[in-house]
Amino acid sequence: MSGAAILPVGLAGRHGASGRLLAGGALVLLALAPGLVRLLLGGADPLDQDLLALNLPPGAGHPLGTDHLGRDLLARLTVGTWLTLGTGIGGVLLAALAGGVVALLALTLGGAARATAYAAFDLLRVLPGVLLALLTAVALGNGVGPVTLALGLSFAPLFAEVVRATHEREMAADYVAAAQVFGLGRLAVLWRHVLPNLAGPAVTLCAIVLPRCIVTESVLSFLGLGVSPDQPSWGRMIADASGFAEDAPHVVLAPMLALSLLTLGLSLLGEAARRRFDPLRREQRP
Amino acid sequence: MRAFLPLGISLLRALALVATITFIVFLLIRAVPGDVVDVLAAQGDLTPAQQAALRVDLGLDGTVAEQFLRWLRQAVAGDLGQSVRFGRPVIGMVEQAIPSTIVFAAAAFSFGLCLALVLALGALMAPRSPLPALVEAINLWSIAVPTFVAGMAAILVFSIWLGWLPVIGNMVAPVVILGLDIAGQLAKPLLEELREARLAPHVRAARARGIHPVLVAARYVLPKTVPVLLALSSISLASLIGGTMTMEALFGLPGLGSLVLNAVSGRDYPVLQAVVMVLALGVVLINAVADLARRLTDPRMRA
Amino acid sequence: MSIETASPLLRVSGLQVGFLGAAPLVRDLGFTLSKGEVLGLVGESGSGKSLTVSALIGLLPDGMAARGSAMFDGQDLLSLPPQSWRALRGRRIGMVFQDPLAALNPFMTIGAQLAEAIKAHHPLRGRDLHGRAEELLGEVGLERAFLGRYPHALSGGQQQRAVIALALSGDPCLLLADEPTTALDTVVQAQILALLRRLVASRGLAAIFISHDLGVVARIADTVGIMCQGELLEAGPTAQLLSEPSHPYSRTLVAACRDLPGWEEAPIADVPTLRLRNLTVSYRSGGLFRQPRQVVHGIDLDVPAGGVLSVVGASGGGKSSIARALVGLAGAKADVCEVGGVSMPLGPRGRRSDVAQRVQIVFQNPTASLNPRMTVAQVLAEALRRLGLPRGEEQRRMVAALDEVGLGGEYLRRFPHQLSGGQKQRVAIARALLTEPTLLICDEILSALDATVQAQILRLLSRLRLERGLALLFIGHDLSVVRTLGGSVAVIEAGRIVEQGRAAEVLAQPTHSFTQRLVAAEVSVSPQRSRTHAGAEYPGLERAVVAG
Repeated sequence: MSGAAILPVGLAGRHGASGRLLAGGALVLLALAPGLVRLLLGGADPLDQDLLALNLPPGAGHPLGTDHLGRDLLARLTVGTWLTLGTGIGGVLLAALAGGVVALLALTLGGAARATAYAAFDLLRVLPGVLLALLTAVALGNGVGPVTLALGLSFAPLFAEVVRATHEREMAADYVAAAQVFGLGRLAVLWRHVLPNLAGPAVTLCAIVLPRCIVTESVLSFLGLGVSPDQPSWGRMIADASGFAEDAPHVVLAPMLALSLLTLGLSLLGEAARRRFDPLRREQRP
Repeated sequence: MRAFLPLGISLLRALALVATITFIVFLLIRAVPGDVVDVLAAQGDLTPAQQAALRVDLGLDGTVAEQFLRWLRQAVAGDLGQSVRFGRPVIGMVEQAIPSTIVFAAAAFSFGLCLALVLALGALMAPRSPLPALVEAINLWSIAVPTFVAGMAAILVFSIWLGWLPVIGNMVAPVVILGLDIAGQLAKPLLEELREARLAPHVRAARARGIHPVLVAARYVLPKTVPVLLALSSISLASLIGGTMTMEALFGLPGLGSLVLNAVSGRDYPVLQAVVMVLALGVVLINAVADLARRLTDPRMRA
Repeated sequence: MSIETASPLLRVSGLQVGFLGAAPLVRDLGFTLSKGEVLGLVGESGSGKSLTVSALIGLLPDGMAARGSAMFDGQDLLSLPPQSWRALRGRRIGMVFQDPLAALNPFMTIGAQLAEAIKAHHPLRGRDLHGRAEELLGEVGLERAFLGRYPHALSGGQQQRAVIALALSGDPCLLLADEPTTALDTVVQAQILALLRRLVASRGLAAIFISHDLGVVARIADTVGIMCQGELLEAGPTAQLLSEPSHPYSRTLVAACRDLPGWEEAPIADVPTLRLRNLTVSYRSGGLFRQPRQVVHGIDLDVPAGGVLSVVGASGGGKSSIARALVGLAGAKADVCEVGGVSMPLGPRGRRSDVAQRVQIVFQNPTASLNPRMTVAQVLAEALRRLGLPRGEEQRRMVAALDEVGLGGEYLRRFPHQLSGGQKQRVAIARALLTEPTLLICDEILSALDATVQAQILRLLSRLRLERGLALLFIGHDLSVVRTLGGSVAVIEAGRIVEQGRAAEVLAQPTHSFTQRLVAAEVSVSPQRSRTHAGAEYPGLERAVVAG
């Protein structure tokens, strides 16, 4: 694999995986900190519009200023933390369920079930996330539910593929054949041999997919296909603020910065997880 | 003749996929409770008879299956209906939008691919230079930084603060940004593949025969990367489409992306239906072509 | 340790190879080699033989370096600058590798690769180039038609011949061969060995031939060197070394390869352990419309109680399919299938019955047959799961099984990666013994093990047979082991039995042509079967199987 990968800002340096872990964790904490503070201390109402105070710069009463509808920017930003993170996590969990669990069932049942399931996954794999979101937006409108659905369906094929690859590898192993020789049934083999080997890759995939989910959600919300107009997902906020970027750049910069910190941090953590839990490395241990 | 069988099957599968997607879209659109006629009926009193007549006029009568088949027949004949919002034939709008999108996407992809190749080859030949680190960095960039954030930043810096480029309508910035994103997706896997190909036993065997290193690189290392490149390209196709739509929306460029986004917000279903079908068709076709190319270039798969 | 000969072509002394800054993997190696001489380097895994040869052609893995001197034609190979290597590689020194398919470029035809290799060293063009390529192919026994074929379209033996042709394209005077026949079938192996011998003689080459198989080396080398843990322990003329090895390790190695004392033959009961009539085995092929592929066509087998039946044949001939069918891992049908007189159901569901559990199997690859994430205790417990025994009883039986195979109870807590190959295979055997089987199927269980370990496992099997009255169905390709085991042998070709009978008789006087080829291809360490002798009984062996 690639040797010591050095971050251009010199954060990870020669320390490889542990450097990534540290840097990633720090960035994530930084991005989530305002949201945490909000949870503990509360704050202004993110939906409260004050039409007399549009696009104000940071000042009294509004620590970060206001947006184009007079809503407090800090409030929207901090509430948006959990909205953005939450839809991302929801998407990953749904993908794991719709992809991983369904794939596992299909592989165990075999035959027609397997063929149908994987044909469906092929279909989903071909559709770009944006197209899927278009469809859910049309059918179900905007909101957290529809966008989570779109995210889950979009990333499900990845989980299905991991499950398939692991299943294939395990079932071909001699030690699974040995278990069958001793009379172990399909379910027992699944439970004892396939699932334990699935845990590592599944967790790694979740860690890798989470930042992508968050990015995709922000893109969708930016395009108007994600959350509802007044929900403060960071992508949505950027879209709203983009028209006023010349006059009030802080309104668009704040969510941009927060989003970048979060996704960068989560990506680094995801990379660290992959290096730690990659099953190929595991088997090469002497 | 036998050799064309897998090709035929691929094409059939592709067509089936497109048909399925189009049908699903059709269903979803019709799944929205209440259609145009209901809206009109509420606004001005229409008798049930008038409603029924209106439905026939607009092609909204019959079961969903019947409607779909009717739409399909018309579509194949070249009639994609009328835009509800603009009253113009949809096919005209789509035809106008396609070239712009294709040019943009092609430009961005070419730029991204070339950049990825240069970076990967450079990183391979000069492992002690900053190039390998650059490959890692650009990979992280493409995962972590969404194109619209990069686009927004570019607008802020180059259009608003520095005033070098116009805010709306310039093609340079979005092509570069999307291209960087694509390069980020391709460069690192490409480099890994090149490195692995270099260590392959037949490369070692070729060196043992005393063949010139440049020839070894050209004939033994590079051909191995073509299948991988094709596979990667199909995967990055998805983000290319999403990215194109995003860039069109952000930079105000005309194209399928803007068209479809306006259709969603304006509930212009005929346009939506048509564009989704065109996009799906495009994606499926490109995947099929890439698959075919892979089959043709790998003599092992010919067996 | 070194050996001296007049006017040496290659003189190696004090060779050390290893990672920079770490203990050397090859220590203080020295030997000389003359034109027309073949030196065979033998050693078990980790002995450093491959590294030695890699150092001699300058293709050590990244991070490794070689010290000492290797004088070849007035130059020291170990201190050559990279540019000078291009003049040597292919032109004066050629190399043949273990995996022929991996050494060939899958994207170029054989002809193209030959042309490229020839052009690198001789300024030939057009018709001359073409002619030279044809000549080389002819030398290795391939026809002109192969010029236009791609590597994946060739069989293993043909691929290796092509690789040899490529190695000779520059007309080198020194040929290095790193396990060139290990990946090949027994019969094909014999043909390639004969080919190499012929080429050495006709071209007057000096050659270094590496193998872990002493028998293979004995068949081709004039001088044999025995390596262990990076040192050359002993070296000398082949016949002398094989009959009178002096170093203790050499003695163990030679003894392990020689015929073991025969086993007794004593049927314990009248009822045969296995009676099989008209067994057919089929596999489902992928795809909706393909018919299942039949790999075994109606064979009959008998294994007497406490007896031994060996099954031999070429790879892909159906031997493993028979084994897997008998333990429910393949689709099989039979008119009669009785174990100890009781009818045994075939197929995966049949494994639940007690009768079926009396037949157990040990697989070829000990690493693959144990789940790397499970402890030995968990691995063994799987065999007893069916019985639902209380914990204490389970534990007792597992410890007893481990004792029987020569490992102690303390191994229960270890993981597979902490065990050696031989120990893993013992665990696999212990696992098979837990259900008190009457028939143990051994599917090529020795192939993945070093020679000395093979001998230990065979002794273990012998003991188990005597103590438990265990019958063995032994699948293998090594005829000397088959001879040792005694009992009966069945020879399988393309899913049918072509010859069977008492092992001693069949192997001494084979009647079917396939059996004859197998016997002629046999490599052995016994002084009687030296390399001058082999092949003499069956002239035309080399041309017999054209496809190989």
